[in-house]
Amino acid sequence: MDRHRLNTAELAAMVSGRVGPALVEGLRAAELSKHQLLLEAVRRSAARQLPRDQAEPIEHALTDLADLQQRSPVAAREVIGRPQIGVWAMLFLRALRNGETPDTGYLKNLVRESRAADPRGSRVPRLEVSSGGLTLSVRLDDSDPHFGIYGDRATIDSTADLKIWLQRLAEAWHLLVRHAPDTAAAIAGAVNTLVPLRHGGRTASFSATSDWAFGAIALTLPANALDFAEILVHEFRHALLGAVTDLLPLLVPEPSRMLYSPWRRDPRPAAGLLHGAHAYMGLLDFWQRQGATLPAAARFLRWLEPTREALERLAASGALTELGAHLVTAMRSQAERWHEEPHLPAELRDPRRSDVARHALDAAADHRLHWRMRHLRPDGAAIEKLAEHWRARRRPFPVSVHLVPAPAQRLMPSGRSMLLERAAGRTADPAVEATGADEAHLLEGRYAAAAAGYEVRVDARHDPDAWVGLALCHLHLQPDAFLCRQPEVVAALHTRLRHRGPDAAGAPVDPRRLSEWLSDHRRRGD
Amino acid sequence: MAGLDCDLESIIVDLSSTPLERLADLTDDVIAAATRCAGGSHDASLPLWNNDGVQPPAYG
Repeated sequence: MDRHRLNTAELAAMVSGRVGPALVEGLRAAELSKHQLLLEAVRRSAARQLPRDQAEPIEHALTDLADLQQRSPVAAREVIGRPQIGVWAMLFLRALRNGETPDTGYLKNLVRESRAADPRGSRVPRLEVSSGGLTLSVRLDDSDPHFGIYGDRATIDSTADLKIWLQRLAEAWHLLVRHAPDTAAAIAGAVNTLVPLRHGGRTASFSATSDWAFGAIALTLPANALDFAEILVHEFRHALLGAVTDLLPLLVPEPSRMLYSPWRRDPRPAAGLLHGAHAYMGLLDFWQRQGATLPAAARFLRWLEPTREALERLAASGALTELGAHLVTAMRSQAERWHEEPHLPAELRDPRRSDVARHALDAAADHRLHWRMRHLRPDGAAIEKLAEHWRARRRPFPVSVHLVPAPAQRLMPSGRSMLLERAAGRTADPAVEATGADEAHLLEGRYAAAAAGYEVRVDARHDPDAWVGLALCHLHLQPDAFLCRQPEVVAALHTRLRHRGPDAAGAPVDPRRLSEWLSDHRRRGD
Repeated sequence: MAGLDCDLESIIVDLSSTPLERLADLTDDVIAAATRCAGGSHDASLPLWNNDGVQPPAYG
């Protein structure tokens, strides 16, 4: 029996940002085969493990589906290809494996509903939007029980709710078709369901994709057309890569070490970086095609360099298969082209002349520095010894740092991080306000004044956020400072010296002097 | 991998022209490919790729 095949050149084009219709069609067909296999896996498992009366609804549903397939192959494909089939099947198999009760009635109801329903009378509303001859038609599904995997769903219970989703999707679709018609066509060929989610206290928009639900995107209602279009691109790319990894392994089976990801505040496995980079290659392509228009240009500047760096870490991770390495090389080449042949004018790209570029640089650095302060812990004995060297006016030495992931509750972004992201992305988030003079100085580019404020804070108490702010200022004041590279080492040493008393003369320990001293071993080539 | 432009055979059989009732003819190992894909087995929690670094289950 033939197996689904993937072409490496088409895959390389896809990961670099542009996906062709043949590849999407191939992936969709493969996902349909996957669902058929899952249905058969459910049938066999139910027949083997469940009492006859509980297995019967599955047999009946599959018989009904087979009847439908004989009468209307297109209608049967529509049912089998629904994203919730994959989620239901996996939850069913998992329940059986864990000795729990699976949902045996779901499939029969779904098939019955799809056979009976007049599409216009379906309980699940359909949103249909067209622009430039391209149509996107999706179900807005707030009721399927298996979409609970995404979190709390928003209820679409009024015409007004439906109208605002439709209006915003129409605007997003227009934007997408105008700037990236090929991407829009690919999305129209693959995405068939939107799952509306509650904001649930989040200030930013939230969206998600599951590898078991190809074709579905879960999201809170985006604030505007550009955000909506970006979510469609972003989540579509997760779905694409998920479908590829269903067919061919891109990562070696061994668990990878955890890495820094510029998109997340927690340490991530290589799979997370691969997905993040792949999603952002699509977004960078979308932003790049909008030229110097803001906010697209600002977001392009915000994310190009972090994506390039993430791809470099992936390439060096040892976690990729041969095909995975080939695709990461393709992404790196495209990112390099964007870097080497910039489409934006020089005055917009220069952080000394452009607030857009400066905020992009600062937001990226703030994220990276925060990650270091949260998750990297310098060796305690080495810090103790380093403190002795400092007091004795001896030379410093390199200190090893260990990854100690911080608990989730300590991963909330700081006020400055949110301000910088808002400035860099040119987003309007009313919940974010400047919290102090230091932040105001920093946002306006008065780095010396901001640094003075952060120095007062780090002197007063252990304040990781102030260390990040200080390091960020030094990126502009003294870019090669040790503090910019390893703030966690300077902070740990400073804390140690503060606890054990200052230097012999009784003066407070100046973080800048510590940073300069720590640079010493590098300068001397140790 | 043979070259930069080649077709790679996947682990999933092509069932585009196979009627549902014929799936019973497939061997267990062919079926099992579907439950092993997406980088994990159905023992694991469902992978969810999201844009939120705090909200568990966080996989993206």
